[in-house]
Amino acid sequence: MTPRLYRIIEHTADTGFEVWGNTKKQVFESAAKAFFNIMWQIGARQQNEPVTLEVAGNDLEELLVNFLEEFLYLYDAKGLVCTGIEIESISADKVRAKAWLQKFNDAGDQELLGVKAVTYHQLFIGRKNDSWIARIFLDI
Amino acid sequence: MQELTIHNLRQIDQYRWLLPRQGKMRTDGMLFLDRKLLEHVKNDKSITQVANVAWLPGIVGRSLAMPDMHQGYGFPIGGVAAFDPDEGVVSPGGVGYDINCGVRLLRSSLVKDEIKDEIVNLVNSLFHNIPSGVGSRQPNLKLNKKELKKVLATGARWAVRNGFGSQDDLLHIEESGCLDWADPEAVSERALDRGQAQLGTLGSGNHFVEIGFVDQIFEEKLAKGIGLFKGQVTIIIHTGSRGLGHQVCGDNIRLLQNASRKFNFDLPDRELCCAPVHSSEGRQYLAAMASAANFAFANRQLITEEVRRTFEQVFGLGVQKMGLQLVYDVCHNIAKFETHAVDGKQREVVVHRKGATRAFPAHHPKVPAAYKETGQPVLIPGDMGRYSYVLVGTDRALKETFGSTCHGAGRLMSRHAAKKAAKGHDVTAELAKIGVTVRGAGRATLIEEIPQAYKDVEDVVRVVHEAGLARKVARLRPLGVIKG
Repeated sequence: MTPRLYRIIEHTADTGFEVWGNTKKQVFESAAKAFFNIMWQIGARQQNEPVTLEVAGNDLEELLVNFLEEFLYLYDAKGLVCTGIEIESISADKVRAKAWLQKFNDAGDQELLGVKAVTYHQLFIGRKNDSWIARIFLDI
Repeated sequence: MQELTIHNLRQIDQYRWLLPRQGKMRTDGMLFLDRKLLEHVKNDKSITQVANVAWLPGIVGRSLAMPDMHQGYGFPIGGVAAFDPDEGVVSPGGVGYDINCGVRLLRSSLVKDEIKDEIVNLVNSLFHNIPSGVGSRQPNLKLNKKELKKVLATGARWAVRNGFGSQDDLLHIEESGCLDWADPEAVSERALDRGQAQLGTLGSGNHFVEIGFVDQIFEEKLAKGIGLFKGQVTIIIHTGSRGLGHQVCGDNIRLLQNASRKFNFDLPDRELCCAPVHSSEGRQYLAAMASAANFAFANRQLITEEVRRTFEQVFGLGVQKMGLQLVYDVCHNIAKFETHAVDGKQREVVVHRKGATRAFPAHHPKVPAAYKETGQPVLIPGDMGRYSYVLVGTDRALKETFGSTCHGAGRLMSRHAAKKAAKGHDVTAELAKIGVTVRGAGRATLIEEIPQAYKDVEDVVRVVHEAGLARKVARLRPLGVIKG
């Protein structure tokens, strides 16, 4: 991942990040990639077939929170980490993405940060000038 | 809503700062701080968050903040508020994501000198026996969902019934280790999926198991009353409801955001989404939250048994001989039905404590018989290098804060700042030099949790003691710590 795809925003007890992109799709994709980067360091990538994920939400903000929370669930409940993501479509209440998942490997992979949840605290997603920006805070 | 700052506060006495009702606040705020601690909240949003809580319908009394207050999600950390069960609301923002994150203290009949040669071995063994770290799983105890639901319904009682600990343990846990209004059917499949392999695991972040000793007694009579003496070996366990609790919170924030729209609540922050206590959404959240709280009670109970087993392994002595009795177990993040005197009348309220500890006084009916004369023990953990405190609850806390006091030190540095401060330092070696053996699942966690990253817990404890929200009993110093 190119290092300039996200920026960490930190306050005393908070950890957040900001991402940007040219389109809504891109900003969702960047948010997911940044999120993975913050949580894991993956040793070897496997050549798995991608799976399709579908996540619903009542508005854009809820959609973003639910989308990122999906990866927390997959990690916590099934021990899966995500090594690649491609947003297929975003409607008013649904996001559909292709995700490359693999089992977390104790030998080669590293957990960087224990994230409890994706929060609505100062959450922002929207357009600023010509680009899309999202700001997300995590409960650690 | 406009940002509120310390300029909006009115000093009442050395430790009390009133935040007068303004704008859409339904009541005043009250902050318990001295000037030094006030400096820490100057630059965050926690004062505004105290005001935000006062917006919520049916709030009874004031919106309160303990001296370890700092910016949180929804409520500030250190926030306490009570709500009328008929006209008030319940909010996941007043409990937090780590439902029933809490601490328990064990005492022993061992003294410091008896264990000092084994401390490295003890820490390594604890680290080996208690799964810790971000995605920690319990290899020896994979519950099926039917059994997991029993855990959610009965909490620490499930643990004791299955051989993890004794009836005596149950007597020394807040609410006897079980919120009986829990309903596992209110918990989503996803939350169950996350909890299935995590019972008996520590998790990460600021969660830990610490072996320490009593290095100072402040009130001999109180210390004796709760079985503490100078030089005595103690163990602190700090963890919560793991991924199950996080998922329950997330699920219900979604549900209660819809409810907030449905009931037309005017809210300053989405994290303060809420529902009337007796609405179907409010009841659903309370039933799920109580289930997660029970999971956390059981979790700390299982880890306690693992600690006891490890001591047996290392010292070759029986648990009976070593003591290892539970002093008390308190919740930090919880909403509960409690009876309090409001305007001279006893009534039921729903008390939210978010990063705050219940601190009931002597002779309160909810305080176990063993502590009838001392008041309920309260444990305030500090950072891993300095010390922790044992306090007892007071009448004044019952009167002013719905029987609540502080819960810990609170961070001073962001994680990034801590990393910068720790650069070039060998954290483990430096702690060893001051007599603390540390093992952590991740190097990153150890660095983020360096002692300098936290406020001195003594500053916080002094305020609650002087303000009368708890009384100092003893100070504990760490010898060995395992970090998640």
